[in-house]
Amino acid sequence: MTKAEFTQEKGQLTVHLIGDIDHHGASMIRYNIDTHIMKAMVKVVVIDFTGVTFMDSSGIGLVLARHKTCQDCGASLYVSGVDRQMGKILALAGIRTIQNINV
Amino acid sequence: MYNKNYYKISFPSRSVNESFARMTISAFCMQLDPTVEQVNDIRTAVSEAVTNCVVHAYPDTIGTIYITATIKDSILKITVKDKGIGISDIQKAMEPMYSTDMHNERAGLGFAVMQAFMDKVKVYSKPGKGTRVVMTKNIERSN
Repeated sequence: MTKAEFTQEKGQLTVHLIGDIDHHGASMIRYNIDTHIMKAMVKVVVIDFTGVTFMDSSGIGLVLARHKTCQDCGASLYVSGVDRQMGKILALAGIRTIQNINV
Repeated sequence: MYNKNYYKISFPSRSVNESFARMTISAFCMQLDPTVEQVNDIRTAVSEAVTNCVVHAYPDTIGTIYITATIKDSILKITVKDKGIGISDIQKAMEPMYSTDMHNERAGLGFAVMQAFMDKVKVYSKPGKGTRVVMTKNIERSN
């Protein structure tokens, strides 16, 4: 079961993705993530992939569309917790990843 | 040692079956003793091909998706087939970042991922008849 959990502190919202991020899973969580980003009123949003068990190109669509949501809300989007396999997929879309966030 | 095997499955184009398709190919390719990275590459490529069927081949209906995988020596060959609407311009469909379904957050990278993760990807399609994606990968044994 794909799900998203949220933590917020010091102007940063972290979206913890859990489970398989495929077309099916991404479509189940994307509106929930957008709602949290819009309500949070933060400067920094981090999507954390540590709990992700599988990701295909649906993960790229998920990140790019959240980037748009963040732009509309005046927030910057970062991606963390990406393993080698996910990094290979994100690299196809030119998405750079970070290991640690210090705000 | 000469090594030959195959499996065939068909299932409805419901998005929940994307993970089911990945599990079948992961289990089947284990007999080639692949690395973790190779298994990930294979299941990701299959996930993309099956998602294409769910999203594009049968946009407004539930149709049947057919997967056949064969092993001959160290070569894994996977065919993902549908009887959906087909692709009129295959070259355009395979262009990175091109998608006919951008409003549903498709990145247009499905074929790019298949090509990056498999050795060969061939696409055969006829509008109104369906599409067949044939992918191969050589799983070299380490010993």
